[in-house]
Amino acid sequence: MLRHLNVFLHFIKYCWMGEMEFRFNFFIWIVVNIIWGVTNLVFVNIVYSQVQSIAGWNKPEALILGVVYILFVSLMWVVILPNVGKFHDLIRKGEFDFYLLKPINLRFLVSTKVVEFDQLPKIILLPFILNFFLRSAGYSPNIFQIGQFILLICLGLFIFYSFFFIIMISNFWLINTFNLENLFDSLIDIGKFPTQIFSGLLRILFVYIAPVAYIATFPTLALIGKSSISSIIIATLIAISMFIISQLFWNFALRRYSSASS
Amino acid sequence: MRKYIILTRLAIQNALAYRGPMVVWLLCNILALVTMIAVWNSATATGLIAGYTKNELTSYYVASLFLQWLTGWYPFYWIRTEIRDGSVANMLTKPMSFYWRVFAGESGWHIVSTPIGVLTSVIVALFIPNHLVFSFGLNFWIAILASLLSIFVVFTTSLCMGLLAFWLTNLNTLDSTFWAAKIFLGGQGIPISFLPLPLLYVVKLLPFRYMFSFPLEVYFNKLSSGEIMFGFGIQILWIVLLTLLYKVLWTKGRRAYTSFGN
Repeated sequence: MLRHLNVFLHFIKYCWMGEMEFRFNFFIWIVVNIIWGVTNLVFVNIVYSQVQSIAGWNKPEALILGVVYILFVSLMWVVILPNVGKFHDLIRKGEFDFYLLKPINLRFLVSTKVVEFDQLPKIILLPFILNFFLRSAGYSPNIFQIGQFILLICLGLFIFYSFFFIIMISNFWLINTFNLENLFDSLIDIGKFPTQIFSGLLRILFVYIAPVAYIATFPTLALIGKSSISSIIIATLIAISMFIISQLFWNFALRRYSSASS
Repeated sequence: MRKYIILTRLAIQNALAYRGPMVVWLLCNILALVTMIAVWNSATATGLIAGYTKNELTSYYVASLFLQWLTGWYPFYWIRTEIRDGSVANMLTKPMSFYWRVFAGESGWHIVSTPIGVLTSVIVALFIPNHLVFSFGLNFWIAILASLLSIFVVFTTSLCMGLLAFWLTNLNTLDSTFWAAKIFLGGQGIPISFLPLPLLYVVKLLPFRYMFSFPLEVYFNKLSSGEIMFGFGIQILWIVLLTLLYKVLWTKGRRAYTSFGN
């Protein structure tokens, strides 16, 4: 465990050195990311200038949801998405062969090698913005609700890591499918809307199978005191199931891997 | 002309070889479509929403699915790659126009994907026939004409963006900004009638509206005859300006270009 932590700290160090090689680009990305975040909130404002509510969510609640969504996506972009999104390149170019030779857990290596820092300023700013929107809407969450919120965000990140990992593994067979990253973006995009917009089978799909409800809806409900403990229990069960499935699928895929090139 | 037909034929074969990415993009579009339909169906509003009825908004997104495949001519990534890896040098010695060679290369993908877009729109429409307001009168044909011109606005813009790789090493931020503008100012995310008035006046002069929104505004009968004429005038003006910009960038880029290896 300590050895893995040590390796991860080295990844952080090397990625930071890489970022600092292109400082101007790094700072431009910080600005672009902040603009994207602001654009999302402007989008909410524009939509609510024409409607009173969406699936029972009024404008102040939708703005809180929007900030939680931006926070979740920013966290995803630090380690999870940069790694799972680029996995197809490792397979296509044959670079995965070199990973196989390393004396460390392979899943850990492909999941943590790339760390991105351009979201960090936004991640630091967002809790203050979230606090502002919560106060403006008349909510003041207690310690228990904040704890529930943090736990749901962490479970959500773990669920999506495992879920995207399962999709990513398909690159072992679909070598030409270079755009799975777009699918990740599309799935995450759904999370910016409350899951209550869906009904019937779609609701089941987006709560339990492709659980976008854990991106922003459930954590926001926890913050505004409308969540129940059952959402945490369900999230924990989904997180454990997803991880087990992803590990079994990973082992299955590794046994069938044959190098693409190199 | 014959050489471009052969290039188109090769591009079609290439597109058929990359069926996986096409399925992924289709899935992304369907996810976005289902979400937006759910959003507007669960919205509470009095009267029209930004000038659209709920059924018109649903139809807007179904038509968008088809329009994205028809007009999304975006050769930016492969031009950037060709300039970066030096393979553009092959083009410098060939007796053909770079513009039309790229156009032919891009056409293969759209010849294959547009019928898939139509088919998907039809299948989606079959599920929600009572929520759609499609008609195939004069407006439909004018919208088709506007869509064909949109292809040239998107294509030439992305061509110019790709050519900037002659001078700039990192164009990711430009790419990201382009998509943000197309989604929020071009009508791909929400109809531009949602935008506040002062901004809407500016948007009507920018190229993004003529990449996506304009054909849909025509189709859903949101414009007077005078506004349609004005729209076509601006659309053609952008095509001319962007083509001139392309010529300048291509001429100056070739002079600035230095190739290593190959």
